[in-house]
Amino acid sequence: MSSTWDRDEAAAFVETLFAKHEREIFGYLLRMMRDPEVAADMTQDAFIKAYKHYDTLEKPENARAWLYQIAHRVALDEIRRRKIIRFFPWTGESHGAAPSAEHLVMDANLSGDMQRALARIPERQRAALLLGEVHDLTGLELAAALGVSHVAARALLTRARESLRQALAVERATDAAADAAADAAEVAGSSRHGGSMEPRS
Amino acid sequence: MTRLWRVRRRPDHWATPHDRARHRAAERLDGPLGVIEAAWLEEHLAECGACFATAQAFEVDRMGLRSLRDDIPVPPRDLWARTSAAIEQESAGHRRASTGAAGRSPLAQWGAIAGVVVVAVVVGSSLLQGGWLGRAGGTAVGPQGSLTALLTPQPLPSGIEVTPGATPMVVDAGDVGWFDVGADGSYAYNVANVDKVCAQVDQASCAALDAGHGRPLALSTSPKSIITSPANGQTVVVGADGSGGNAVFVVALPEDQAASPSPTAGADSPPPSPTAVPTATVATASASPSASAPAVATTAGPSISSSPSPVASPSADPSSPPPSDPPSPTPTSDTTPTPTMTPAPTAEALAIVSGVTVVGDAAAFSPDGEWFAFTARPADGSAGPDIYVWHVGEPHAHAMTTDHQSAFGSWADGLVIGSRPGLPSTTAASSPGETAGASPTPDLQPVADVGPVTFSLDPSTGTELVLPVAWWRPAVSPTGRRAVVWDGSVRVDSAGRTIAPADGRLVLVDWGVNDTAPTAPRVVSKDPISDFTVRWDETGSWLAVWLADAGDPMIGRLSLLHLDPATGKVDRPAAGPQDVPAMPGFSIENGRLAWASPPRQDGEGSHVQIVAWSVDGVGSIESAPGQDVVVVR
Repeated sequence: MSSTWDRDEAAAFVETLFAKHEREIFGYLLRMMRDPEVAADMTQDAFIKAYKHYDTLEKPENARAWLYQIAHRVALDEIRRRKIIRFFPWTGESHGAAPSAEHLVMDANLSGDMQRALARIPERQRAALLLGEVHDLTGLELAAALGVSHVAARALLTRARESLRQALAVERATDAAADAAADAAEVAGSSRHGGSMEPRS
Repeated sequence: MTRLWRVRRRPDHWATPHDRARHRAAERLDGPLGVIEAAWLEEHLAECGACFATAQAFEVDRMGLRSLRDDIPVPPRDLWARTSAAIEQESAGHRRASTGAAGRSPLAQWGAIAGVVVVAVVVGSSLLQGGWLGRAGGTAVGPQGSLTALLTPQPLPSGIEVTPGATPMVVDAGDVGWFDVGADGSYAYNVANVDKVCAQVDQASCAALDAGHGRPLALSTSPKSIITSPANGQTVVVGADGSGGNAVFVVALPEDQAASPSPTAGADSPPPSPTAVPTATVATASASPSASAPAVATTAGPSISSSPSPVASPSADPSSPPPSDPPSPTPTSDTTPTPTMTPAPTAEALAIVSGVTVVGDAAAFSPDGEWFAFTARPADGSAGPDIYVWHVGEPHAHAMTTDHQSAFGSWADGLVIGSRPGLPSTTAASSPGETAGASPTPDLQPVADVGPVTFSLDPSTGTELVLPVAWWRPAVSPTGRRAVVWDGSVRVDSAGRTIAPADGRLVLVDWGVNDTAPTAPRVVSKDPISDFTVRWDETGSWLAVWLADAGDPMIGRLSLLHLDPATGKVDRPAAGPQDVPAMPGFSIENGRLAWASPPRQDGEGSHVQIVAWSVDGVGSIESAPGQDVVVVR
C-alpha cells in the first residue's frame, strides 16, 4: 500500500465501504457513546483508519467485520481517553454547550429502558451485545470485531446478557418508583388546584 | 456458531445449580448447548420457577435488543464530505512525503481543494468570536453553494446523500424581521427569508443571514418591542417616549421587503431611492386626534365598575376614579412624546397610548388579530400595572383593569388571561367568582409574597371571570391545552408598582379541559426568577422561555423547549439554544426561533440569531452585527 495508485485504490474502496456501512457504523458508535457529535467524529475517524490500514484487510469479504473491529477500537480508545464508560441518559435537561444537530431525533430513538440498561453495563459487554444482537454480526465476525477468541466472545456475550437482565430490572424498578411518585404528585396537584379549569360559579 | 462456542467450564464448577442454569440459559441464545447440558437445563427449568423466569427474561431482553435494529440513526449528511476531505488530507500528506504526486485522480484533486477549504474555514472561524454560534456573523466565508460543490466532487455511491441540502440545511422558516440602526442613525427595517440554515456541525462554513437592504424607517423613538398582527399586517411598536415612559403606536411596515432587495447592491451601493421604497402607511387612522386629551383611555362601560371582584379588591371603592385620570404630570400634546412623522420613507404611526411604561414583554395580538393586549402602568410611577387592550380600528387602547395590580399573561380562546396578586393567605380563600367587570382599585399597602389570582377578561364586554387556579401570568399554548405559568407566590414592592415572582417555580401545566389524562406539572425552571417571557409557536409543540437576568433585566437567557403533545413531557432539545444570552424580544413561529444577542463589550452590536428545525434536524444562522437590534415578533 505504498504506491500512489494503491492509495487511490484504498480511497475508492473506503468510499464504497462508506456507502455500504456508514449508517451502521455510526449507529454502533452512537449507541456506544450516546453522543451524536462524538459518534459522527468517530465514524469519520474509523473510515480514515480504514483508509490508512487498508493493507491489513486480508479478504474483502471480511470487510464488514474488519470495519467493525476498527470502529470498536476507536470507541474503546475514546472511552479510555475520556474516562467515560457510560451513556448520557436523556433526562430532559441540556447536556451542555455543544449539542449536535440530530440530538433530538437521536434521543427519541435511543430513549427507553433498554438504552439506559445498556448504559449501566461494562462497555465491552455493551459492545458485544450491540454487535451481536443489534448489528447482527455472526460469531466469527463478533470475535474478530472484539479482537478475542470465539470462546471468549461467547463468554462475554453470556456475561453481558446477565448484566443486561439485572440492569433492566433496576431500570424497571426505577421507572415504577418514578411513576408512583408522579401519581402522588398528580393527586397532590389536583387537590391543590381544585381540578379542572372551569370557572368558579 | 456451534462448536466454536463450546464453553470449557465444567458443570460442577457452578456454585449452585441455579447459577449454572442461569448461565446456560443465557449461553444457549448464542448457540445450542451440548446434549447433556441442554437436557440438564430443561430438567432444571421445569422444576425451578425462578430460573425459568430468568430464562424467559433473557429471551425477552434479546427481543428488546433486536428491536433496536429498527431504529437506525441517521448520520450527519455531510459526514462523507468531512471524511473524504480528511482522507484526502491524509493522502496529500503521504504524497508530500513520497516522491511525487503523479497520477492524482479527479477525486484527489477535488478532495485536496475541499480539504484546504475545510481547513481554511475551520481556522478562520476559530479566529472569530461572539454570538451563540461562536463567530462574528458579519463575516461570510463564501457562497454556500460553491462550498458544497467543492465538497461533493463527484457522484457518490448509491445510498449516500451528500446533497446541497446537507449544508446548508433547507428549512421553510419564512421571513424574520428586525429593526436596527443604520449608518445614518435612523432605524432600518430588515427582513430575511430563512429558507436555509447551517447544520450545527457545519457552523464554521455558515454564511451570515442575508437581509438584503434594510429599509430605512424614520422612527423618532427607540423601539423596545415590535409585534406584528397575525391577521392584518399591522404592527405595534412599543417605543421610548423621551420622558422615561413608553409610547405604543401602530404602524404598517413596508411589504414585500424580502422580495425586493437589490440583489447586486453592495457596500458602496447608493441607498434605495425614495421611489423604490414603499412608504409605510397609517394603520387605521391619522395620528391621535386627541393628543391633547389624556393619552391613556379607559373603558367606561357599566359592566366595568358595577361589580367589583371580591377577591382582588375587597377594599375597592367602586366610585374611585378610573385611571383615565391622567398620571401626574398629565400627558398632553405638548408633553406627551408621540411618534414623529418625518418625510418618506416614514413609518407613519397611530399612537394608541402614551405616558405609560409598558411592563414586560408579553404584549400580544389575539389569534384573530382583532385585539392587542399588553400590561402598562403610569410612566410617573403613580400606580401599578393594568391590562390594556386595543381594538384594531379604534384610536386608543384602554385599560381593562383598574386595580393597578394586574398583568397580562396571554390569550386563550379569544379571552385575555391575566393575573394579579391575591389577598394574604388568611383571606385569599374568600369566594371568588364571576365579576361582571374589571376589579376596582385595591388599597396599595405593601403585600409581600402572596398567591396570585388568575382570571380571564372578555375584551368585548369587559367581563371578568376568576379562574380556580392560582397562577401568575399564564402563557397558554395556541391549542389551549397547556400553559406555562409561575406556580408560586408573587411579591409586590412597597409602592405597589412592580410585581415579580417570589417563591415558586415556572411549570408547564394542563390548561382547560383536556380530552387526555391529566398530567403532573412539569418543571420548566425552579430557579429564582425576576421576570420571564414564554411564547409558543403556532403548533403548540415548541416554546421558548426567556428568563431575565437578576442584575440586568434587559438581558436574559433564552431556551427552546419541545412539548410532546401526547404525553405532556417537555424536552430541552440539545441542538437548540439553551440558556443562551438574549435580549428580551424573540419570535418563535414557522419552525424557527429568532432573537437578538446582547451587544458585545468590545462594541460589536447584536446579531439576530435564528435556529430552525425540520425533519432533517436543527440548524442555525445569524445576521451581521447591528446596533440596537430589535426582532419583530
